[in-house]
Amino acid sequence: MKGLLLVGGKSSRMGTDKSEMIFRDGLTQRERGTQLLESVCDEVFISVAEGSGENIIPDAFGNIGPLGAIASAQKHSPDATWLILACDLPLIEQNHLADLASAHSPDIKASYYNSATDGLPEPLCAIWSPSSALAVTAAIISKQRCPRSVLGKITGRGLEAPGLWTLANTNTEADAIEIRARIDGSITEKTVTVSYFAQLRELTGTSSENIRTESTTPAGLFEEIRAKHSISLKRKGMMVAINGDFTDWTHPLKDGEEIVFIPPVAGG
Amino acid sequence: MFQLTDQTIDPRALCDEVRDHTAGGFASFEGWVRNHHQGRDVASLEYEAFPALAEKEGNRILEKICAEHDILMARCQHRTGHLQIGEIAIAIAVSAAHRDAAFNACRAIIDQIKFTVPIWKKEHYTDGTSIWVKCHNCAAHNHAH
Repeated sequence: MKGLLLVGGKSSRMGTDKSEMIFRDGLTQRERGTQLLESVCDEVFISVAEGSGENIIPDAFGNIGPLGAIASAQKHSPDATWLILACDLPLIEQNHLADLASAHSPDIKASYYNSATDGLPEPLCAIWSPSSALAVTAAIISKQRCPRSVLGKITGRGLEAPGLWTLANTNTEADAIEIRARIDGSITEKTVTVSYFAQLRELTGTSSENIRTESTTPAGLFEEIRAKHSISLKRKGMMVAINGDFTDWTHPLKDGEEIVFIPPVAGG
Repeated sequence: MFQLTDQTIDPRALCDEVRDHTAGGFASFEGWVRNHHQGRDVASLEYEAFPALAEKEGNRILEKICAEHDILMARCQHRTGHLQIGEIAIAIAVSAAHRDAAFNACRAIIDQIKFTVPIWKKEHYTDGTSIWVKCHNCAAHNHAH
């Protein structure tokens, strides 16, 4: 099996190159991801948007995101089984990759974890067999660039996610805060009140609930709530209010606070 | 002053509230419940607000825009609850010494209200289905507070 570390993302929400961020052991995410892949793969490659060099695979399908990176690897070595890993998953451990590898067999098109939040396949910590290449290419040709929906269409093996946070990525500053709290063990329990309006009231089936949470920020709390109530609505584009006024997603949650999540508004 | 109301909006009353002898211009806007949206036949609309923050944010918007546009007085009412076709969903009344300020402020107020005030709209269609409408602005902008 070959390993492919994805470092070519634009990191636009984080605003800094996620592959160069350091979360653990003094290693950049690029260095740590490479080490993790080396522990379970025969050979490790780095996927970049542009560039060349030893064990570098540049995007061969233009700037179309991770599905293009997967297709580029499959083009590079069509007979290889690829373990694809995004560089922005600091809580991934060697055993999670080993578990994927042992669950996989050549007759399966792909093996992956199902998200603990919404149950959908996680494509960027997954094994893609050569037999998945047809579906990957077909999606690119039809301009469907979501690797998750490609996995949804092919017959693969979905494993239960090892935990709510294991596959969390560092898309935003708030994600990074939650992840660091889990790495340094600084999480504390608190009880907060969450009120729901409109769509979220319908999705949760309640207008208010008290929640005992280990989250550090409202962003983490929202992920917990998504998992608890099986909500597919995502945080992107949403706002959050605490104690009656807008606040930032990085706000440190405190015991007794009243939280309202605000999906895109539509007054007027 | 921004208010939520679950009662029929009276735009004439709103107009009277901004009357002032130093005003030479008055502008108003009404948003009505329309019977179609993106090619679908709409039967009715349902508005739901996060009341405390909707009124706080609505008032912040009015204050800010009044200061920016040389406005004498501005009022806005937004409906909540289930509205039928043709009903007024929102009414804005603005008075100013001169017309440019009144027109511009009225436009700025409705645009900003649609953008950040926590009010949501559910469209009920004639075929019996319904959805919470997504604001088109939100995906394109990063809300910052």
